[in-house]
Amino acid sequence: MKKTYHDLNEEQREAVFHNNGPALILAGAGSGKTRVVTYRIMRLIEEMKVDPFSILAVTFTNKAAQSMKERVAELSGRGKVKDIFIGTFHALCLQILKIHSPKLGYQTGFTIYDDSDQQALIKECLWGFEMG
Amino acid sequence: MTIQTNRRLLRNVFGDLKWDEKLVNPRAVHSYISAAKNELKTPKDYNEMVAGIFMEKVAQIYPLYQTKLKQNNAMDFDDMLFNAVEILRLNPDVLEGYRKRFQYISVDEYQDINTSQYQLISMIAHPKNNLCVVGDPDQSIYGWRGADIRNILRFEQDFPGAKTFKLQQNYRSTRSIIQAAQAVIRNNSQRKEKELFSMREIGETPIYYQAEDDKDEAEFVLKTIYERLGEPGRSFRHVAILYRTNAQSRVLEDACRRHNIPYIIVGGLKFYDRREVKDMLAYFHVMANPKDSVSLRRMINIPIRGIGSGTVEKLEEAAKRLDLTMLDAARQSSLNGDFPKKTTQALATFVNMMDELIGLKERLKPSEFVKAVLERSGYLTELAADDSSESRMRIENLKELVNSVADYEATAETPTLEGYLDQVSLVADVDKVDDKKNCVTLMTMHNAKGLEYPIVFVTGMEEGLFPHQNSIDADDEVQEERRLCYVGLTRAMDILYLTGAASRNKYGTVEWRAPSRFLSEIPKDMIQFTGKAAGIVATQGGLYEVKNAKKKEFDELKDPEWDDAEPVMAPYMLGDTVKHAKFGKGMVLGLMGSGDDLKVTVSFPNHGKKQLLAKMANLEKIE
Ligand SMILES: Nc1ncnc2c1ncn2[C@@H]1O[C@H](COP(=O)(O)OP(=O)(O)O)[C@@H](O)[C@H]1O
Ligand SMILES: [Mg+2]
Repeated sequence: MKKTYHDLNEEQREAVFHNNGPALILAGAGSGKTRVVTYRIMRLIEEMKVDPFSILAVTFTNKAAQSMKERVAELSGRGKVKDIFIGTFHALCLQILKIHSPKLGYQTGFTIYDDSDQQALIKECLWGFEMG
Repeated sequence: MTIQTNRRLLRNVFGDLKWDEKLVNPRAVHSYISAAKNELKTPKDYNEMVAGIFMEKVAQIYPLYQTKLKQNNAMDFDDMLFNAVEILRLNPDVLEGYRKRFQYISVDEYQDINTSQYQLISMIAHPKNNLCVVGDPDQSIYGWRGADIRNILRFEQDFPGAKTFKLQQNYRSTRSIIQAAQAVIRNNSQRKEKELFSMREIGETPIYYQAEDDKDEAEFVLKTIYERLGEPGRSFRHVAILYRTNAQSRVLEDACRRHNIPYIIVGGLKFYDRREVKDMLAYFHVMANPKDSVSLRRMINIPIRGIGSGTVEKLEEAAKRLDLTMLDAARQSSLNGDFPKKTTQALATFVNMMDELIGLKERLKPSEFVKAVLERSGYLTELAADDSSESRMRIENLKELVNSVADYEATAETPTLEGYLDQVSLVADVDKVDDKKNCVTLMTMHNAKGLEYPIVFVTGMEEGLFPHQNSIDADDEVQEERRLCYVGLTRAMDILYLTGAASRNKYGTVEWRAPSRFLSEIPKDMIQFTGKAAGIVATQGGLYEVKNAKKKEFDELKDPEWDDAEPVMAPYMLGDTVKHAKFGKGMVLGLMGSGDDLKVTVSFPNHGKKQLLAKMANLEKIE
């Protein structure tokens, strides 16, 4: 067993060493769930020789994505991290939409409306735009 | 009962209500549409499931809203997921491409995914299902935003052959913190007990400070921070102050300033939400997406160029009629001389400027282009002409905007303006948390998910605030609040403080509050009670309002500074959720009269429709 796995406990290691098929890691706060995901990515790359490009890791925030990237970089090296897709659902969707949104009739360069733009448009639907 | 008869029935019940569009709350409408999209319901699907007059209204607005978004070549956040799923669903070859590409998938915080996210992930993972999800049902806290805890509970059924792993050791927190958190979460009936132990030291017993009021609470928090930072090895970045609602941050923020403690607020006004920054972004959006009329409307007369709202409205109409972008409509109008001479001139100048800038966009690096827009638009000149400190601050922010574009340029492989805009649109509140800056972090418990800090203050432990007023009537919502409490407590590594105030200043009136039920769920030997107002017993009863006599007494004592409290709430709007002392939560469906005569029609789930005199009804508006 590689040295890096020593900072995992037995249960965590089992989860990290899960190879193929669906896995559910169910655990309370602070038990190393996020750590397991991170180490698993490292193991996929280092031991299972998985192409980083074919790894997708969805996090809840961009910040969480950023720290996961940094951790994986520490464990596996910078070069490999940049091809992994680590990001939020929205980041993943944006990537899909950037390429394929014309299939739904959008044009490239579509705008993503933030909260205030959305409100403006709803008001326009309700009231016409002079009131918004 | 079928939806049809149901609807007819509702029409009978509500038939007498006149809907005045001006009184409909756009926020409420958007949140209904948002919920529908998260459930992957199209406007057509939505029409089928309408129940109630407000949903009928939403069912009318939803398709209109979608059409307008499409006309603007724009999407909202929910569309991003909805459309991504749609693309994969309608294009098997595209789906196949992503399946081939993403051989190994993991999802963190799986307990908080919603239907559209679930759909997206399961589509891509299929059929190999090399899908590793991690989560904790006890930390599911986004049910109110469409997250569905059932996704994690159902995982083993949804993905046959799934292997389940359990982790039982907590590495983050001291034993006494874990004990207290477990004691709280155990009170949730809808849960499976999980083993969780810490091998760390027992540590300090969590302290509960019962403050007199919100100011006393903030004082305690800040004084304690000062004390604790005197201990070796501690610094500001080790401290988080958590709260239930953003409104609580103001008093805490004031206290930080008074005590000269560096702090950062997560979820305050975002940099990109500042007026001048949004104005500039509107310019960029129009250049990137000429159909974006919401942005065009924002920037067309900023700085003032003599293109008034009447002109804009006519342009909008012309654009629609001739199927042109608004910019092209402006171009045509200025050529045709459709407007009075001065306006025509103004439009021509505007169109020239835009053409010039669009030309520059192709040639310049994004950061240089941004500088060019700042100058060529006249925006900077106008700010500089007004030599106030406010304008200077705005100019600073615009420089910061240029810096942020330059930062983006330095990291992106092929930097483009569009790429920068994409990045901006993904920025969320919590991304402001910067571990490198040495300051105290203030944020909501929702935003704190996944984070950890050596010293944590969970403030506002009061009935009506936490659990929130909003949730108190429904047991499953109280359970979500309790999970949120569990999330809050378990952010702490070494030291945990809980605080609550006996009274709180809200919209200019004082409210008396009972300590949160969550406190009484922690056994007495696991928590230490202190504080000025200690002795008030935790009741399950909840918030009790100020009795008149008591209020008067309190008014006499009250700090003069309280007079600058927030102004009185705006009157109700249709679609608002309100709370009545006896009938509970309900939705505003009608408004009649004004001032003292204002009558509000509210539909209460358990009591039906009631017309109430606003003055007497004491309806509390729920955000
Ligand atoms: N095996 C371990 N040994 C030492 N520290 C650990 C171990 N597993 C997790 N940790 C630490 O415990 C804390 C919580 O881990 P995290 O992965 O964030 O938990 P979760 O995602 O389950 O809340 C982190 O500081 C992490 O570094
Ligand atoms: Mg985690």
